[in-house]
Amino acid sequence: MNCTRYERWLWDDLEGRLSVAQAQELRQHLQACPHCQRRWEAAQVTYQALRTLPRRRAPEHLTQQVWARVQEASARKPAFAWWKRVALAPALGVLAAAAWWGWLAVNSEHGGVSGTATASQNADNWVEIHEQLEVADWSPTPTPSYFITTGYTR
Amino acid sequence: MRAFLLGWALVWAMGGAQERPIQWLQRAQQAESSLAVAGVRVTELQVGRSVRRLEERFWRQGARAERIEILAPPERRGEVLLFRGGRWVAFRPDAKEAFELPDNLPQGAPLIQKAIELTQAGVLQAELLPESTQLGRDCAVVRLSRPRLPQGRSSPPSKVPHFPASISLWIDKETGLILRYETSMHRNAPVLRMEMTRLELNPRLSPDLFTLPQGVVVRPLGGEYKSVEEAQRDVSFPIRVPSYLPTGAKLERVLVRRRPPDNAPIVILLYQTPNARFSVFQARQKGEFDPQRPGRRPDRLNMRFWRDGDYSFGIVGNLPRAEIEKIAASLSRSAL
Repeated sequence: MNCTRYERWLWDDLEGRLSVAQAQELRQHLQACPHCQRRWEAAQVTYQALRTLPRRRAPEHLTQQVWARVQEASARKPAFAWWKRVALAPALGVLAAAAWWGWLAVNSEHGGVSGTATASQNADNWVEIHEQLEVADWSPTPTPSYFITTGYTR
Repeated sequence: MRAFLLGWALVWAMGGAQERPIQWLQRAQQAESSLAVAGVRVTELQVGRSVRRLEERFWRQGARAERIEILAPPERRGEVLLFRGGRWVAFRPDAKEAFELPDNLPQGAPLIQKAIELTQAGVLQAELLPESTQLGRDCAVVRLSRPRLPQGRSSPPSKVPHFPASISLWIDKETGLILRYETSMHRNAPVLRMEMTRLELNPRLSPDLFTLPQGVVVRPLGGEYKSVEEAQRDVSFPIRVPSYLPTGAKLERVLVRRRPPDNAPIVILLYQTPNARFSVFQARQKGEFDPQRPGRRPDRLNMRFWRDGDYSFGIVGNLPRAEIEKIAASLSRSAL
């Protein structure tokens, strides 16, 4: 049995990203495969545990404030000790990675329906929002319209 | 023999009448408006590259009352939508807070009523597709579509009201309930698909199901506003409203979305004309920004994006290009 494909779907399933057909296929596979069933249960426990953690949003302009302080510090002390210079590069790397990770987290949290972080993507996202607004009006249930207004996730 | 033939003709005539699509629609409208029903349904919303899957448990007392509990996405699980007395409210039991939703939220019965009216007026074509089963129940399948446009014409003629390219309904032959629903804004591309995955007929529906618990305060829903003036209070830059609008255009929705990471507002004004719909977008855009052409341009939509000082604007809709240009010109600072 080829489990690799279904293992890739486990997290998508927990996040509600699978299509109806894919979700049904996964359910059938889980019933027949104890290995994947255990993995799915473990993923579910992890997912629930992560969701119970308090969610904190980084203060606005955090990155700018950190950079401002770094620049201030370097202006005050132009003669860095050599070890500080060496340490600065990985620290900035970590900072950049954290900023990138935070950007990703915020974007995935808001899903494809809530605008975009980069200006160059405005047009695509605005077209998508317009289409979502259009099609949600023809839904037999009000939920899509409610989700478009409030964002797909919180 | 004569009585047998007469009886057979009567049965044939009744059967033939039942098979007409408009009558299936009328049955569906009646069932959605009057039956008590509960179940689970899955809705998929597919636009461009993104597919959103929503799963909900529902209890409905005809067109009078409805309760919807969100099952998926997991992040929204437990949220409740309540409809009673013509009013929709969103309720979060964990936070004990509720929000008033817009009056014009879509629902099955009014949607089918509109489809019936347009079909009877000859604006839509209704056809019966081969029968199918859904949840093990026999269904009549009715497809509604706009008349095909003459070749080389990219925008719909002015007499055809705004309507998706097609809507298909799987109508339970026994009850008239809609068990499956698909709609696409353009040909051969379903973008919204609803499927009932569990159905309970005539369940016991306690009035408590449709009532907010005591002590819950209902507040306006953030992000959706009744007017531009109301939205302006939450937006730091002056919202521009087009001074030119196509004939019959009406402002339908005012939305403010927050753009991560800095929560910068994007204002969306959604307008409806008798036969088109368009959105006007505006946002403050600091720094370098070259309004880009979108990678994906659906054929049926015209659009324009531009930058004016610190602000970026966009208009998207199924309006003729000339109309979009006029609206864009009326949004410029010199025109205000």
